[in-house]
Amino acid sequence: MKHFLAAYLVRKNIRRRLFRYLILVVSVAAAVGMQVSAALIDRMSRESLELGLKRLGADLVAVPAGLDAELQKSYLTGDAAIFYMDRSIQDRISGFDFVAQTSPQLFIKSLANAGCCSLWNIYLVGFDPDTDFTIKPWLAPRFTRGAERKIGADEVLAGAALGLEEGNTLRFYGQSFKVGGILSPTGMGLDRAVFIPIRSAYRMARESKTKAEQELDLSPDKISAVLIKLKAEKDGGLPAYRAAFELEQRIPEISILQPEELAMKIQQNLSTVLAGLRSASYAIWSATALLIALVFAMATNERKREIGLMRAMGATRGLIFRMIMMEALLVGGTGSLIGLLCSTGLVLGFSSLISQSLGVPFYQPGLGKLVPLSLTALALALLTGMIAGLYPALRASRMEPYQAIRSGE
Amino acid sequence: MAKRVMGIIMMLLGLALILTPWYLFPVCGRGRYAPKDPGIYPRHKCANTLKAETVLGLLTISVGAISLVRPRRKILIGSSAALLILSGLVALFPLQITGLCKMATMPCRMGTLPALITLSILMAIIGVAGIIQGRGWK
Repeated sequence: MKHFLAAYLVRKNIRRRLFRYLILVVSVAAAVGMQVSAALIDRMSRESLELGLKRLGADLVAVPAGLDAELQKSYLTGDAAIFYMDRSIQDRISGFDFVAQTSPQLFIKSLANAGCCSLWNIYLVGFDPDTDFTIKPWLAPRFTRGAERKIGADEVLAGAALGLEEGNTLRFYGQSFKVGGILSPTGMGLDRAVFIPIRSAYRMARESKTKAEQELDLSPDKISAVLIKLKAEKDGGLPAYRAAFELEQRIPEISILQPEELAMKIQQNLSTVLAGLRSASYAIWSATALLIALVFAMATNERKREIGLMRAMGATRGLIFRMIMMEALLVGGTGSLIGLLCSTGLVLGFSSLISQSLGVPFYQPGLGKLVPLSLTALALALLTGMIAGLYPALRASRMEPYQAIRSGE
Repeated sequence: MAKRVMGIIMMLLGLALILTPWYLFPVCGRGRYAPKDPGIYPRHKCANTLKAETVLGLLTISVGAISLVRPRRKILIGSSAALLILSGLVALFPLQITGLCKMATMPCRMGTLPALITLSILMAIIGVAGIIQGRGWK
């Protein structure tokens, strides 16, 4: 009964001072929203990076000298990086003792008007199905049907972000290809690429003279990159940084990209933005806690007479304390729920746009990972409301009825 | 004046609905994504959504204008109900009826779709608030 009475009084009081409470709720929502956004962006990019590096599968990637930054950008954004080097470089790299496996890749940009109205300027990556160790393991399980399947000459594998389905037909440089499988998503730029068997890519280039609107000038002795897997150190291998140094020294025509460099670049891109967002949210959070404390102290002062009368009519100290604490918790709870819903919805909804603007990859976390984050934000906001409301609530509950009525007059 | 606030909010939502796919979060080939050489630019599926959302925006402005000019109980409840239906259509056109481009990184999917969904949710909230407010009027 006491709880119902306190809840009834809280409702009445909030209705009387609706505007003031709305401002408080909006402030809490802004503080929680900023905090949750920063945490979400951080988590999504870290997860994507982890998955993307696993997907890359190679310890090192060799590209023509000086073009490693181009490849780095292309892995992050999915914008085509077009460059070529001699195919013989792959054999020279394979000749090193510390190299376990190599596989070539070929980068091509599709024509602007590539047949389908909604898929154009696609990044085509030619891979060698016989030596590949980085792409096939990432075919989404439902497409592999539990068995290792050979990729046909007229088949391609599509990145998850292209919105394609198995069996769709794509047309590049006058040739039709069937989508043979979809790769599982990582949030990295390569989710927007189409992977084509390297021999089909050379054939497509050869036949483009007669079949395509624009000829694809590509000779079969050219490749764009070599993916390198190193031997384990116990089997005579070298650490990645030493192997990269060795390769760059002995083959001056190449530059080596180490996946760790990619991770560092992403961390750099993110750190400034996240630091700004976090400092702003801490500032808003402190200001909000102060604001709640101030507003409740003011409200208690304004309501001295009312509180005195309630005490004189038999309201206990506990009821007065509960009433003010309930108001503070309600402000904290409502604000944090609004902030949480809005920030989660906006960050997840605009994730591709944020990812592109910040130059970092994003992978949307599952619900299981969002729940702990949401509960922490909610608990923090409730705690803030409770701490901010504690002093005014204690002060109000300790007032003597007679003095409260006199000083409130 | 207080009775006309809902009408003004509805009109602003309608205006935002028109501006979003044209300028704020433009669909492919519009606003800041306009091609330098329109000659080779293929026609995109989202162009139909652009047209549909423009019409829905105009309808939302009209519904708001009626509430603004004649702030009566029945009119507010009626226009709020209309806003609720329009909010559903705002989300349904890009998701189901006219659709958008396939690639997740096309401007219409990255910016326009989440912005339209946000607007649709806002319209639904205002619609419900309008009905509740209208029921309280005499």
